[in-house]
Amino acid sequence: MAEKLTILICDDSMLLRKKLKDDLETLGCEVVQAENGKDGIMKELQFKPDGVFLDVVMPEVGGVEALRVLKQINPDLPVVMLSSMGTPEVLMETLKMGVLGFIQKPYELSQLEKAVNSIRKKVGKDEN
Amino acid sequence: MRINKFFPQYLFNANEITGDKLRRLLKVAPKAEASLAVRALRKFNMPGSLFLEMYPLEDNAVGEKLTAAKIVDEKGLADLRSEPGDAGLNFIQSLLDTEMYTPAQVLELLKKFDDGPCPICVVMENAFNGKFAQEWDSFCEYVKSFLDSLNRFTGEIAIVSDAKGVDPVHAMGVMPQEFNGVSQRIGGDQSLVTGIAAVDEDWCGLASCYSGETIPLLNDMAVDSVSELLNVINGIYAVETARKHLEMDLDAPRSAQMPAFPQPEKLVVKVSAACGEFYLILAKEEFLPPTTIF
Repeated sequence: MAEKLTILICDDSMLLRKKLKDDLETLGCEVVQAENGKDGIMKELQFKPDGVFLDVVMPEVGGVEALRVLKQINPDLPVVMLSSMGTPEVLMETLKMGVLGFIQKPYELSQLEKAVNSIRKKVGKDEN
Repeated sequence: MRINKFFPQYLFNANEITGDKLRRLLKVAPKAEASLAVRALRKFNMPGSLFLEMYPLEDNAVGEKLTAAKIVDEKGLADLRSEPGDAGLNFIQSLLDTEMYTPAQVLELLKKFDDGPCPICVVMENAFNGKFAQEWDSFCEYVKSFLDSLNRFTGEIAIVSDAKGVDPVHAMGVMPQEFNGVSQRIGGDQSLVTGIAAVDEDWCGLASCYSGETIPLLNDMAVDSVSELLNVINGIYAVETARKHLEMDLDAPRSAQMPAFPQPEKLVVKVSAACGEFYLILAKEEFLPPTTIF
């Protein structure tokens, strides 16, 4: 059986965090929540999650800025962008910064499952 | 034949249906299941007389008629059966199920809809009345995108219900002060501020619809749900517009009580859906006060 992943979700929407938490727990993950980029960085340092789902458009510290800092702290940290803002510019910028993937909101469960499996593989917590 | 989610708007614009009847239809349409005859009407260029023959029949008999008339082969028929339904098809089916119109009348209306301009553009043109000349195209595209995304994310078919009242507003507010509001700036090569305003009951209706949970009171989750709905709708609009090689970006949504005055010039579009009525707002500048009051 695959080890449990700890996933940090970083989004300013309470609704999104609630839905994402429920869905990730269904996929066998433990979830830590953050309300914005600044909170996300603090939670990364505190909980050392296996992976991060990160929104782009957030108050205080936005997703792209938070991604930059998270990658400085841990260059190998798997990060999946989950955002309404899926324009080519944002996609290119975040891919260059080494994100694992980008999911345009609203997400489908199959996309989430695929992303979780990619994180599992990257951190070596899959069944193989 | 064109059958899409803007057909209800056409009916409303053309005074072919009263507001009350339309609201009833919008409530039942999402649950309707389009028959094979209705699906075939949209997909294939077939005579109206054949549709009138097929409509009363069960789907199996319709399939036999379609293949006998060489309109579709067996594989095409299987594909037609398995295609998912959508708002446009469901609305036509509910129109027929409720017998508000006969099948022949529905065909006639669809023909007029087919030949006419986009009904959203028609109602928007009445509203603009010469104002917002530079923004007309982007505002129109935004409203179409908004209604399309609202349907995709909530299942609701919505229409612009108040064409007469849709006037650009200057210093005087068109909404009383008890309206709640959320706004979001869409920036980049195109700049506009869009938002949603509604009274508590309709706000909670929209929030419940989007979240999939019953939210009876205007609480943090209600505010957040409508904010997030606006955010994802604007995200889709930004992505669609970026495909035209325009750079787009979004600020985080903001929420507050709608101010009575003063306000920048803005376009206020009344939207009606089964979950409630609300105002869609488009402006060149921010129209909510600087502090969050909720």
